[in-house]
Formats: sequence, structure tokens, C-alpha cells
Amino acid sequence: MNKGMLAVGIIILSIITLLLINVLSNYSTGSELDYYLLKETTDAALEDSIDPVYLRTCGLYRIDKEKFVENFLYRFANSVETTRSYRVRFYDINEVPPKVSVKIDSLTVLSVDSGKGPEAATITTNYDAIVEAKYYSNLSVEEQLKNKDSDLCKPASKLFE
Amino acid sequence: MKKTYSKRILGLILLVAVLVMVWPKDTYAALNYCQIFEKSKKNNGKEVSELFGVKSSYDADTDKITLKLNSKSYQGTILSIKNNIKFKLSEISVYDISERDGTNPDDEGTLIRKWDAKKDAADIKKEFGIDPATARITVKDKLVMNTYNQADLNPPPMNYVIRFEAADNWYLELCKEWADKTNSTLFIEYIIEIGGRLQNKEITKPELPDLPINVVKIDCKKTYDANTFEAKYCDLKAKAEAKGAGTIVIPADGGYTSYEDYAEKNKLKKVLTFTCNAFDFVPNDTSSDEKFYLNTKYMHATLKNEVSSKYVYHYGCKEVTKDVSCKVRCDEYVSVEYGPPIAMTAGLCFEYKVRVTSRVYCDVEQLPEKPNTKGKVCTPVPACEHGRGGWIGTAAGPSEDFDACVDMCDGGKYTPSCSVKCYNQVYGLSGAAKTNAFINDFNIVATRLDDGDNSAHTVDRDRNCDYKGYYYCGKDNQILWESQGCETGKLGLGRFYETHKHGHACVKTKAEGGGIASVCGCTATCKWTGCKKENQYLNEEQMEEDYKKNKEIYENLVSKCSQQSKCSTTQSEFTISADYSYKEKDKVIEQTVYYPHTPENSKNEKATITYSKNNVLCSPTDEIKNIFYSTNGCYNCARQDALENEYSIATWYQTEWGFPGVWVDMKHGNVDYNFHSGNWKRFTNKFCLPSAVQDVNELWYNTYYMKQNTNFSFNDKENKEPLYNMTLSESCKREFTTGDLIKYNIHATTRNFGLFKWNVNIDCFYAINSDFPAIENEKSCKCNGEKCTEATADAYVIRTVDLANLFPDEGGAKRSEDTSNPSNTGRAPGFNWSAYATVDADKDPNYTSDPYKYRGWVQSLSNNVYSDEYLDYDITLTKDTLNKMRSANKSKTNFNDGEVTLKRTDSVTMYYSKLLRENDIIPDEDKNIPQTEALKCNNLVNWQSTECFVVQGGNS
Repeated sequence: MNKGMLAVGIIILSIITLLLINVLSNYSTGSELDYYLLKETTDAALEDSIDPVYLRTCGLYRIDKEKFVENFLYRFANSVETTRSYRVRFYDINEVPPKVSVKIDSLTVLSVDSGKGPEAATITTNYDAIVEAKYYSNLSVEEQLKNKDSDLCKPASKLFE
Repeated sequence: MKKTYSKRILGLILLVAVLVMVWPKDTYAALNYCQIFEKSKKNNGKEVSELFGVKSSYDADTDKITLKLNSKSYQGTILSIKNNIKFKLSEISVYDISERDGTNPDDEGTLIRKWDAKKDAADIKKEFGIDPATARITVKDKLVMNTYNQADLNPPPMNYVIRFEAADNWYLELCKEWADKTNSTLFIEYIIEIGGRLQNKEITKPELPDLPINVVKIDCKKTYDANTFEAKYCDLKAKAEAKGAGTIVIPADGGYTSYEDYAEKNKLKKVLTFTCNAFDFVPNDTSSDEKFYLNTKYMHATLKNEVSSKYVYHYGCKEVTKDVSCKVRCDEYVSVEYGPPIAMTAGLCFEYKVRVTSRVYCDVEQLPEKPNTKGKVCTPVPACEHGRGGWIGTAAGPSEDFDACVDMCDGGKYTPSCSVKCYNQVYGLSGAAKTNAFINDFNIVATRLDDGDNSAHTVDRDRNCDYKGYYYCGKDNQILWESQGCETGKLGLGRFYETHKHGHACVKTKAEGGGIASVCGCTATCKWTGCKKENQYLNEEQMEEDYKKNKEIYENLVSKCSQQSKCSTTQSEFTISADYSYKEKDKVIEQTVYYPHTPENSKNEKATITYSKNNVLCSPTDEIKNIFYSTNGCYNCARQDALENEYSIATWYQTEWGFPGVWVDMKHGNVDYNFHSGNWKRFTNKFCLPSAVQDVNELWYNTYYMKQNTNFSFNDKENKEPLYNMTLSESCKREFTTGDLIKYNIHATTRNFGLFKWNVNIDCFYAINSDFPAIENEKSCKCNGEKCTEATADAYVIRTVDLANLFPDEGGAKRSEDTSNPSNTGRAPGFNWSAYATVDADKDPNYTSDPYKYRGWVQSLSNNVYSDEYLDYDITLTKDTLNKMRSANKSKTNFNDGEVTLKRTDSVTMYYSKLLRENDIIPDEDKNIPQTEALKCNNLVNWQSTECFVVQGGNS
């Protein structure tokens, strides 16, 4: 092997190494970034989607699923780079008590984007969150929930004109 | 005879006096004869006869069973009574039985006089020494009465019949079962005849049973004695309900408090203040309607009024007046019903209502005496005096001549000089003889002092002259004659007066076929005299006019009396307000919200109701100010049970009011007490507290839930310990009502309510204790009467969770290894994830939540939830989509102001995302979203389904 070929091999190997390092780095930092982005976005969207009217009429926290999803998407779009595509999936959204499970697939540098979202080499991040009251008893709400004659938690259509 | 009669009366008085003396204070054992009475009605009283051993009869028209004792014969009667019966006096009658021969057992004789126990109470009291209002006899075992014996050679001519009717309580008890079944009234009157001779009067002294019976509740399914308050009340209630007037709360006991100072139509403007009982805890099974009215106060006042006027009569030329009056008594019963204290949570809403009901019973106790209609037209007598002072006379006799002479002399004053003069003229030998001789020759009935000319007009009734006219009262109260026919030329034969305007008169004659000739010189002075007695009128017209005017006076009097109870235009005022406090920059700000509410929150704004007959006008009626829930009255009902007459009236008023509601921003949850449109909706009949409201009445709150704990809280599912492990001593409880421990923060008022214009304040309170036991202090928080670590009502945390172990304990350990219960947790979950926060189908069948079951399901499923089976939304954000969204975001002030639309479902108000469903930022091929109809679900199955996900009867 002549020196030229050796140099070329070294260069190619270096490039491959650099590429590999870049890919690995991209995976790890992307995954970390996606997780925190997902958590913060989810938490903020949960906060924004709490239904204040239900809290007034029922004394319980409720999130509105549609509002949560929309709010999440707006926030997410505002926070991520537009160099990638993302697939955002929401599982088992429970409004009362509030609980969401969110999963995001994002492209890595090795992903192939066919224009219809990432189809390979994605980074997947899951996040599960709930809204929990910080107190574990509210006697007046509890009492009214058990009293079927109380108006608490009655359908809004009956309570509002 | 008179002595015998008097003795009889005396004996009767003694008998009744004995009866009154032995009248028991308590009532007697309940009987159960109603079925017998009912059966007896179909059989002409046979069963009742057997029951009492006396004759009885049933009258279908009056629905009355009458028992008659001693009516069959004149022999003594023994009345067999199997149980105690209490009687009250109904009437006393006197019959003439002297014509009875004993062959007709139903022959009562001829009624001579009757005293009604109600109408003639005063007379009975006077004549017999009995007060019908209180007179009662109680008969036990037997009542022996030896009466008039047919063999008596000297039978008494009179027979006193004393009628008694069953006393109230006896009737209540007796007819309870019967009335419950038939829901109609049974009226029974007992008639006990006591013969003319009350010999061997013996009434077994009753032994009183130890069974005090009090009417503790009015149940209108029962029947009551017609004149009791209960019967009147139920009658009124039925009438009111027939008019669609709703329900009147029934007094729970006889706890009416009399306020005599209201008898003067509340001249003192006294305000009665009632507070809710701090310990009227609402039982769990209390219905929604009842719980609002656990507190009830009853008030009563009486007004006795007398309205007076005068009748005016014009007898002859004399005006006579007579004072007349009518008396009315009005009883007003008012109930004030209001709710118990309320345990609340900051930020939530509550309802508080007050209802006042007035029932008015007015009796015209004494009608005015009717005006005299028996007047008659009197013919005055002409009296003439000779021009030279000699008395000519009247057509009557010496005494009438004397009166006429005095009348002519001094106008009827009988001055000494005129009396002497007239005595000499009339009773003097020559005068009297002259007068009598003179008068007897004449047939004069009238002549006239003609104002028009000097021609004479006369009438002679014996000569068939149809001379018409009338007398009237002229100037100086002189009687004058106004002719209406029978001209002079048609005058019949005979003698007559001719009277001229100048006052002189002469006596003339008209002979057969001849002219008119004077008997004496026309120098006599004549006047009309007489007609001064009561009921003597000069003419028909005056009599009719007097009657007409006096009748109007009578009718006005009656009207004024009856108007006292009728629905007049009465305007009542109502308000309600609530206090709260909140912190702003470490400063506590006190706030009161007044209703009817104005943008300025004016405390002077009043809601008014104007009651008038069959009409109720409420003001104001706009949404923000209308605090009325229901209004009823004022209805006049002629009282069928009236004591006196058709002028007795029953009326009632009822008003229910409370908070009209608040306006809630359905998008952001803000509340306002003023009107809003758009996304703001009215939360009907509620008052909402701000989320930042300060705690109030905390001690009561804790006490309340200590009281209620055993019924609804701290069940085994969560293994919690009681939070407020404290008890209050009795003295401490008293402090709640007498001390300053309670801050009353709900206030309702009414002014000028009902007939007597009642002024009432109602004060109650809500309590908030937001010192909820916080999760961080779970282990130490048992409170024991001390404050827990504060956690506000809107305190929540968004937690990142491990789906397999949602609530790990402090060390992060997993939940209990008890896999048989997937709902187990490592620590107690927050309130909204506990079993206590269950929203079941009773609340909302379309939107239930069972946190306990749901968390078990989540923990069981764990990360397997990331499956298409549970996928709700699937959105792909391409670079292009991201760019579009970022561009769209630039115009937004925050992410909570997205392009969303509120849509109402049967249960909740949901958001409808335009980003997802309307605009084209996200291409359709990049999104899999649920259909709109699935958005109503608490948890939808997945985006492809429109069904709601349910965990074993949990969420929907």
C-alpha cells in the first residue's frame, strides 16, 4: 500500500469516524433535547388546557383534550427547529382526572424524509403526565359529589342558561 | 209558671256549670270508629246507633251524622259511651213542646229561640254563664239524663236543647284512618237533648287518660274540624294549589310566635331578625327542595279593627243620625323559611334561598246594622190659629192640638208662655169644645201655602178628589205642600182650608151645586205640623233617598271591613347579599355583593313585588336584577268555613328569592356579577366565590365535617384517617350561636311583606376552610383541631409519572405488592385521583369519572398504553407544517388563545380546535384525529371510534 492510498484510507476512516461520532452525538443530544422539550411542552399545555369552568362547577380539575392537543402543537412548533419532521401521538388522554401520554418520533440525520414524515431512524420519546391536586381531601366537594341532589358536577347544559 | 221556667233555666245553668267544671284539660284516648261511621252513612246511621245506643241519622246532603238522645220518647235516656268523648258547645235552643203529644218521636216542638255558640257567644255567656269558646264536657262510660216524664201532670211548656259537637282533637284522632283513605271531610254533630226537667243530673266524672295529644303537624291528607286553623289552612292550600300556586310549607309544630306589636299594621316598623341554626346539618337523605328550608320561623299577629259611620234619616223636618260600625279581625300567619349554613370551597358556587309565606284569615266579626227600611209616609196635620188669637185646631184631638199649637207658637220648644197659652186655647173649656166641634165637621187633609199665587189648593179625600202632591221640608224647617194635580175647579164638596201666601187661612165650604163660601174670615194662620216621630217621612222620595244613601253607607262600611283582608295593592321589597374577603398585596379587602345587582353594586337597590288581586308584578325583571324564584298570591278565597258571613276572606302571599346567578366566561372561567354576552353564560341561581377568597367560619367547617364524617368520608378504599379529629363541647357549641364565632355573610331581607307589612332580616353563613391537608404533610396531618399546612383550593401539580406506579411513596418505592388491587398506590393520591372524587352517573350520566378504577387500569396497562388501540391523536409535523404554524403563532399573544371555538355538549363545554379541524395548516394526510362527536367523552376509546372509554363502569 502506497502512502497515497494510506492517506486516502486514513481520510476515509476519519470521515467515517467523524460521521459515526456525529450520528451518535445526534442521537443522544436529540433524544435528550426531545425529552425536555416534550416535558416542558406537555406541562405547559396541560396547564393551559385546564378547564376553569369545570373547576367552578365541579370542584375538580379537568383538561380539555382538544385544547391540550392544539396548545401542545402550537407550543411544540414554536420551540423545535424546522429542519426536522416530527410525528406526535397522544395516547389515552383522560380529562378527569387529567392524564396524558405523549409520544414523539423525530428524524435523526440519517433519517430519510420522504415528505410524509420520518420513516426511518427516528428518535422516539415518551412522556406521561398527570394533573394532581396537592391536597388529598376537600370535604365540601366530596360531600357534594356524594349528594345527588347537589348541583355540583351536574351537566353544564343544566347549570347554565 | 214563670218561677218554674226560671228554675229550669237555673237548673240548666247549674248543669252546664258542672259540665264546665269537670271539663278536662287534656284530651282523651283515640277512637277508631271511622270505618263504622263510614259504613253507617250508607245505612242511615244504624251502626252508629248501635255504637252509642241512641238514635242516629245520616243526611247525605250535608254529609252529617246526627245522634239524637232522648228524641224517641220522653223517658230518661242513658247514653252509653264506650270511650271518652269530648264535646264543645254548638248551640242552645228553646222549643215550645206544650203541643207535643208524644206520638211523633221526631217532633221537637216549635222553635222559640236559638243561640248559636259562635254568633251569640256573648248572649250565651250572659244568659247561661257559659263561655262557648272554652266550654267542653268530657263524657266517659255513661251519661244519665232523666228528662220530662209523660206521666207528669204538669209538663213543662219549654224544652231546652243543647247541641254539642265533637271537639277538635277528638275528631282528629277519630277520623284519622278514615280520612287518610278517603281524603274527604266527615262532619259529625252530636246533639244531646236535655229534657225540660233535669232531674237527678248525673254525669260520671271522667277519668282522664294520660295521653296528651297535640297537633304537631298539619297534614292536609287528614281532615280537620272545620273551624280549626288546620282545616282553614288546608282549605286555603287546596285552593291555592288549584290555582297553580305551588306549595305552602306546612308548620312543623305549633311554634308560632305572636307579635302583638304588628297588630297596628306595624306602625313601629319593627324588623325581626332570624339567623340560621349553626347545627342544622343537612341529613344526607334530605331532598334538594327540603334542604333549602331547614330553618323555619313562624309568626302570627292579629288585627282587630272597627270601621264606623253614621246613617242619616230625615223624619218630618227633623234630621236624625245613628252611629253604625262593623268589626273585622284579621289573623296573619307568616312562615319564614331559609337554608342551613353552607360548607364551601373557594372558587365554587352555592345557592341560597329564602321563602316567606303569609296566610291571612279575616273575619268580619260584626256587620253593621242594616239601615232602616220600614219608614212610612206621614200626613202632616194642618193647624190653624184665628187671626184674633183664637185657636181653631187640627183635624185630630186635644193633645195633638196642644202639640200643634206649641209648635206654631214657638216652633215646638214648649216655652212656658206658649205652653200656658196653648193649654188655655186647647184644653180651656171654650177652646176645647170649640175645637172639637169645629174639627169634627171637616174632612180636611191638606192645603197648600202656595208660593206662586194666592189661589187655594186643597184636597178632600172623602170627596173623591184625586188630588196628588207631596209634603216637603221647606225653609226654616217648615213643612210645605207641593201639589201635582187635582185642580181647584174639580174640588169636591165639603169644607176646606184656604191658605194664602201671607199666612192667613180661611175655612170655606163648597155646597152641592153651589160655589165656594167662606165660613169665617180669612184671618186664620195655618201651618203643617206633626210627622216628627221615628220612621215618619213627609214623602216617598225622601224616604227612598234616605234609604238609598244609608244603604250606600252600609255597603261602604262592609266593603271597608272586608277590604281590610282583600288583596290591595301592596308593594313588598326584597334583597339578598353576600360578603367575602380576599387578600390583595397583603391587605385584606372586605367585599359585599348586593342583589338586585347594579354595575355600581349599590346597596340601595331593591327588588319589589306588587301584589294585587290575581296579579303579581315583579320588578326589576331583567336577568341581572331579578332575584325572584317564584311568587304567588294574592288570592282571595271566600271562606266556606267562615264564622260569620260571606265577607270573611282568606288570602295568601308567597315569595321565594335568592341569588339570580353569576356570569361565567366559558373560555377562561372568570366570573362576574354583571351581565355579559358572547362566551359568557349565566350560572343560574348561584353565587360564586372568587378563588382567592379568604377562609371564613373555619371552626364551624371543621365541626360540620366531624359531624358528617361517619356518613360519607374516609372509607376503607383510601385508608385515610379522619382529618379533623376534634370534638366541641356543648359550651363551645353555644358559642357558635351566641358568641362571635360565626360570621354571618349571607343576608336576605324583606320589607312590607304581607298584610301587616312584616319586616324580616335573615342572616346565615357559608364556611370555607382551605387548609386542606396537603400531600407533603400527609403523615403528620391529623390536625386535631389545629390548622393543617395550608394548601389553596387551586393548588395542583403537574407530575411526570411512571404509569406502572403513579403515586410512589416518599422513598420512590413502588406501590403495594398487592397485585389483586391494581388501584393500590405507594402514597395517598391527591384528592382528584382519590376515590372521593368520583363523579357518578347520578351527577352526569354522560360524563362520569372514577379515579380509583381508572388509576388501577392505568397501572395495570402501564406502558402498553402506547398502542394504536389507545391512540387518540396522531399528528405529523413536517418542516412545512412547522413553518406555517410558527408563522401563525406570531399573531398570537399566548398559546392559550388559539383558534378554538366553544362547543356545548350535554355534559361539558368543550373546545373545538380550528387548527386541527378547519384550517389547512396541517394537511389531512398528516393527521388522524377523532371525530367531533367523540370529543364529549371524558376518555375516548381511540381516534377511530366515537365511543367513550369506560373502565368497568368508571370514566365515560
